[in-house]
Amino acid sequence: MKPEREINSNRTSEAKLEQLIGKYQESLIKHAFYMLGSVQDAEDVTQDIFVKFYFQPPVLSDSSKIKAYLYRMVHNACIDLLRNRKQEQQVHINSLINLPDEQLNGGRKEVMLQKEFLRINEWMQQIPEEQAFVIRMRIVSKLSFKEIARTLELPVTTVKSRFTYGLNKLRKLTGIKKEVYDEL
Amino acid sequence: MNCKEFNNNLAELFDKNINSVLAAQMQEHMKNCSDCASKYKEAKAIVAGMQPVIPFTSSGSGLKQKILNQIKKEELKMETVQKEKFRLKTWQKRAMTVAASIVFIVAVFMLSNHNPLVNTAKAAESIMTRSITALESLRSMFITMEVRSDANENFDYISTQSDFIEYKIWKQFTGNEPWRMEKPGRIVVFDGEKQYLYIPEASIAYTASKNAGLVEWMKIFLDPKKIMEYELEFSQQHRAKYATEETSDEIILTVNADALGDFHNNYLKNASVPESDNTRIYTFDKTTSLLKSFKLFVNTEGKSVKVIGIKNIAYNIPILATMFTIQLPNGLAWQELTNQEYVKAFTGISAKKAARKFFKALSDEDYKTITPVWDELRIEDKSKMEQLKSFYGGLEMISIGEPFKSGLYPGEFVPYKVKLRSGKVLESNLAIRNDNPSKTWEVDGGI
Repeated sequence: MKPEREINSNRTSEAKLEQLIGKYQESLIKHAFYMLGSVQDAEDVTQDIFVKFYFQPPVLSDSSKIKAYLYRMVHNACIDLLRNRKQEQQVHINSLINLPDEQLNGGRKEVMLQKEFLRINEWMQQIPEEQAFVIRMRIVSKLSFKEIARTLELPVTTVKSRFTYGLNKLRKLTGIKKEVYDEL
Repeated sequence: MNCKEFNNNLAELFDKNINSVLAAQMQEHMKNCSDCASKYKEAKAIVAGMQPVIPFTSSGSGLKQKILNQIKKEELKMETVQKEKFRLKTWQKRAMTVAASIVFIVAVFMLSNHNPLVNTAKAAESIMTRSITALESLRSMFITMEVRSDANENFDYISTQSDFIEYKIWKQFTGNEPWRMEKPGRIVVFDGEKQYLYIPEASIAYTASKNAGLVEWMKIFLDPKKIMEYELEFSQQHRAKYATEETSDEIILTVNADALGDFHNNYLKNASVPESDNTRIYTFDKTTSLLKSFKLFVNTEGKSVKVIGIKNIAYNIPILATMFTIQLPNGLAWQELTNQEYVKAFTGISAKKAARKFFKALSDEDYKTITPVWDELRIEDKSKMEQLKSFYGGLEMISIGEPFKSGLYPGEFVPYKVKLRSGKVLESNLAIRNDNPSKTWEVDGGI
């Protein structure tokens, strides 16, 4: 119990927080971006999570749990944000996929990233949300299955099953598309 | 390995940390099973297709600083809420005795046709009678005034160091006499039944009884007639110096008064108007006897600094009924201010012992013991409560000093120094009081 308390105590310090920001900031923003499709929103969510972490540090025993905790916080905040977004905003985002670069908002880099998001998001929309979460975390955020299990608070076997089911579904869909194209 | 086992373990081939034994078995299976080999090939192609090809970089610059700035802002907000609650409670409890404080500010309205300097109760009585008569016929009033105060502070807070900010007062003298007082950052409304305090920044929304002291000493500006009604009593109880000056259309009255309260310790000296040495200058319309303007100077360290100035008073103007209501945003509800209950552990002991018990409980994270005497732990917003526990919980007591009294505060101040878990050292004075029917020490502020 004592070591946990000590770790918890350290986490509230600014020095420790700065260390965590330096270590995880970029990967957390990236994770949030590929859920939200906006760099600005992704940065805002990540900022809020670090602030929350500072004021309400969880009692965790090792650094790998901190990483999973931060990913979970960001992931859940993104889900909340997505659910709160108005329907028309969703429609707007989906309609962006067909727009030429010059009509997309933001600078050149942001436009490229938005297009990348839309491309990957199109894949994810073909499968159930819980499978998409696992696949996105593994392929885009590069988390191991063990880390994904910790983040989503699920058994590793469940995480692997969701990954396989999602992949099989996409494989079949791609196969159907291929057959249709062949017939044409 | 058969096909079913291969399919069950397909994910293994895509893990970050591959199980080499299992991977070898799967590779072996694929050599002999073209279906599974093809399935893996397709899955691999899909995974490759979903990989982002553009390296991700956020705008990144300054995010760390933004986070640290937001933390500082949140901490400041927490401190504001603590300070506010201290002041709020102080004045809520003081409401019964506030009338005594009110009298201090009242002006003596002395009239002497050509003598520029008079100091007689008889002359004062004459102008008071005329002013009271004039003020009795009022239907409504709207005052705009400048006050050296801070947006995060209570209505009665003044500081010679602060800039002027605008206060506004609306008062209806008909019906149940509703009123509204505003300063940047907070509003108090009396709708004829209850008082309502709303502080948007801190998400505080309190209801209190009809006579609660939510605007504290500033209450006197709601009823100028009472200023004069109290004056005679004041002049008999306290020493003050008076001077009047008369022009063709105005009567100007200057009052010099000493601070009220116990100032063996100056901690609260100049913390509010009653607790300061001050000079008040009133200007009256000679024809109507109505107040036209008012200036208040606080005298400190050999200097006289203007802290309040009434810029304009409009009498008998129409006021919309909606001015006497406050619409709260969604998710925020009115909370009733309550009185302190009896708590055995904090009764029959000295202020110092009570403070020590309080900090010991925070150190041990024993919130059960202090919840009844620290209303911060009784707030409904669970997330704010958790923030508070996380901030103070597990602190280390460095020292507890000797309690002292100051100003008009009915409780005591206990100096303390503690070290928070974050390493931050806090040094201040805990304000605690037991002037309640149960004589229980309760934590009022200073933390």
